[in-house]
Amino acid sequence: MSDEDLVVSYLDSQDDKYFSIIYQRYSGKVYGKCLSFFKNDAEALDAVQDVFIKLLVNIGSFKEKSKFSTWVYAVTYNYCIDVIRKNKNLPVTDFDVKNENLDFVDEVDDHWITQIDSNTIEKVMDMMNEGDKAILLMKYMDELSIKDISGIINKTESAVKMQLKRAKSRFKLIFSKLENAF
Amino acid sequence: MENNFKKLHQERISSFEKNKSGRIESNIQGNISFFKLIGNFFELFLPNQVKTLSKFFESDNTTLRPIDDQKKPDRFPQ
Repeated sequence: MSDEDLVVSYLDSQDDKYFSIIYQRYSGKVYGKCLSFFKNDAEALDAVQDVFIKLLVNIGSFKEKSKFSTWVYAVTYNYCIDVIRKNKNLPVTDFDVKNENLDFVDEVDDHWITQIDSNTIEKVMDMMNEGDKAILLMKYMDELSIKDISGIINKTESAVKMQLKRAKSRFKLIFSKLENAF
Repeated sequence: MENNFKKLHQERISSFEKNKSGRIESNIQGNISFFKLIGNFFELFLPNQVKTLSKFFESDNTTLRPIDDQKKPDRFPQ
């Protein structure tokens, strides 16, 4: 049964068994993303719970304009970013790009970035801001297309490409600093 | 081609499914039951007058409103 069919069946019958299947399919993926944003496991688990309650409450607003998985990821990323920014007392503006000079950083190759060992990826990501983190996770963890990412963050495809380029450059800068520190 | 972002993600998914998934699911089920209880409570105890009134406000505005009728220039034909 496809995700979209499960949503329709859940909305028609209100039977929890359909939502339970959605939970089985997506809870691990949602947890994996939440763990990238929150410092500890307990916070990530609370986030999973909140995201699924948000999904449940808003499931009627899923309009099949995108794949269900893309909608789940959008809810997850937006939730994580909102919580982190509220905790930091930052204004809630989605996925902004800081105007720092990254021109001197060479173009970052996709192959290079995906070959770094997973422990180092975790360390570098922990030091990145939530906007950069989200866009890198969408690109490399979820392997979403530029079009899907632009739908999630509500920006044009060219703005997404620019933001992705900057996020990769900042990733490389932090990676180099970490390497030099050891 | 190996992708270590995906590998990291897969490790996290496995750890979640082994140890934590069941606990979180039962918490969510608890919340769903609570929401349903609240929904049933309102359905049972909300006075019928309020339900009727809310239906009135939900009506689709297809009937002619007096204020619109008054704007017609020919409403008092000579």
